[in-house]
Amino acid sequence: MPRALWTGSLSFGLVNVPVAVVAAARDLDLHFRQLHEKDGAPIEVQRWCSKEKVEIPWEEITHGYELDDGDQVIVSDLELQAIEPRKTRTIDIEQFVDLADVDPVYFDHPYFLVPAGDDDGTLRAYVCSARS
Amino acid sequence: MARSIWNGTITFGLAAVPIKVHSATEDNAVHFHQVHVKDGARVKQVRICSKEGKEVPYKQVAKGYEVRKGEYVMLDQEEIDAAAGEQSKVIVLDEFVRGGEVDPVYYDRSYYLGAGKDGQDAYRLLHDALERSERVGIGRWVFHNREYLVAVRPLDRVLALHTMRFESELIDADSLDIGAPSRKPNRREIEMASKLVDSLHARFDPSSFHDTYRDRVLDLIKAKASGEEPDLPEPPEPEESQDLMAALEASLGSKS
Repeated sequence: MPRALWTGSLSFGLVNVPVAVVAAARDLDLHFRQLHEKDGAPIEVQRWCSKEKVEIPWEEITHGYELDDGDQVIVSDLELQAIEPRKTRTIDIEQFVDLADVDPVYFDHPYFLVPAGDDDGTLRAYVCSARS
Repeated sequence: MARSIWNGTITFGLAAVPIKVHSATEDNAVHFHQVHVKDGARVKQVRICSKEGKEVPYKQVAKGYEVRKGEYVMLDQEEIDAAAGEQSKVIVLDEFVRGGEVDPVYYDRSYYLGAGKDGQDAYRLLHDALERSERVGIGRWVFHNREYLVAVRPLDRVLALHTMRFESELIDADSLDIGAPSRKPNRREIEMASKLVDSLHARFDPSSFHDTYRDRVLDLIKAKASGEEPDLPEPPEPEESQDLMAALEASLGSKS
């Protein structure tokens, strides 16, 4: 089974189906690697602090937003999740429409939804949703 | 009209329609840059030579392709461009299919087509013919050294161009290892679920949906910019395993 990119709940009405999101398209593009011309060695990209000029571990990195006046606001992952906690855990189906009414221009990246976990209730709710 | 990103000609049979390609979408996402938690300083991406352990100046960076694990073949940009072959200025449409036959999963990026020089009439003809016949032209487009499978279709008063995924780029649904429940949903459960789906049926109106999460992100940024510290709510309780029938009944009950 491909790696789960996200897990949460698929919800419509009061029904909740625990699901995981997995990729439905694979990237077959040719990818090149940066090499050092002098010795042919592969180049590693490191994250450095622009003030201290040393490499920074992943845990010490957070998000910054540049305001119009040039000032910066720092926002953490926890704060981003906190603003809409339900949305970050749930795919809320608001309505069911006819597929033919959705112009292809609105579609973006395809994924599969698969049941999250082996719980019998989850598997049955998943099959029931797919068949309705 | 915005500058086009590519100019060329659509051909099918002996017909030729000069066109210009424009973006059809724009990126409205809120973009953050990476900063160091300790001092708020920007994070810089630094290229380090894996052999020497020192920073590599941009001029000394070459492209390579990994042919075996750890073994690279170095290529320069001229070699890569030459391998891509001649830059065709033509989008050749090989066939026309019914629009409804193309599953949305094949569509990738969207573009609008404008008429090219002296091409207004040919453009209008192609658009109207596709609209009347409810068909989509499928062809190939070479853009930025890559060949794309594309679909050309009428969209309101203009022609749209969509790059498409090749079959080989799609993951087969049958390859997903989805477990089966010990008891399949019974007829009543499926009927009730179908009733619930019907009760939520609506006409698709894209203008009724907005990126509210993005608005909340901007609100958070504004609040923090004026010195407020946001409250972090308690992490939610994990949801109890649900009784499907009870949830279906309650959903339909609240609708009638």
